[in-house]
Amino acid sequence: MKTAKLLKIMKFFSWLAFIGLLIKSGAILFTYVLSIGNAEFSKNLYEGLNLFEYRNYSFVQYSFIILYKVGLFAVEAYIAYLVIQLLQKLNLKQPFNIDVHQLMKRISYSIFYLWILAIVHNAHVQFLAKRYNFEMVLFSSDFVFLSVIIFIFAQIVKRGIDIQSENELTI
Amino acid sequence: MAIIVNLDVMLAKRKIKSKDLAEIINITSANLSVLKSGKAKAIRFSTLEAICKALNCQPSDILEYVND
Repeated sequence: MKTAKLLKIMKFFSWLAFIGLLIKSGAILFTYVLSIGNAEFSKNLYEGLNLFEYRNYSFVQYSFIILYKVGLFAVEAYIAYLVIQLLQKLNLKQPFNIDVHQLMKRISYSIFYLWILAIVHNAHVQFLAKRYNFEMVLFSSDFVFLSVIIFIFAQIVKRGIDIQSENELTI
Repeated sequence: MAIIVNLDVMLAKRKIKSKDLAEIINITSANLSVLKSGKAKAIRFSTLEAICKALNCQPSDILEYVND
């Protein structure tokens, strides 16, 4: 009963995270489009995100950084969506099913892709910022272990499916 | 599978319907069907004992090993 309630609360927060991240990536994309015509918009793309220096230095580099950031938040939103799906498919009476396994694997891969994207983004920003003494806005990339742990859990779920089906076929 | 379930044969010999046997040994008809069709992965000793008691037979009358 407690677990079911906890899962409902988690689902609610996952929806919040999903919507919030979609708004975040959408807002950055929107202000980026505005900043094409007026460079002043790049001073505050979203909640104080200032890429004015990059915009003035090179529009192509600036666009690349925006692309990374939108991509990062979009992947995060996708992960939040997968978590919602996972919580919807999770049946506590029969927790081991193929959908849960597939979703956990997809979450693990998505976190891994997010990590790669974050590394590329950080390397690019650091390269430019150090060279031209710009302000650095980096993205945390400490979550690669999370991807590995979720992948291991996905494998445990896979074994659980085998055991559960064997148990169901024991007469 | 190397283990063959000859439950059908025993049911025919004893002239008992699957549905009746399921009721006697207290399992669902669906589960008995799984057992009869050979799809079951394992059989509990308690189920085997109940079947043997109901059909008045030995486990070897129900289960048979065939070399693949």
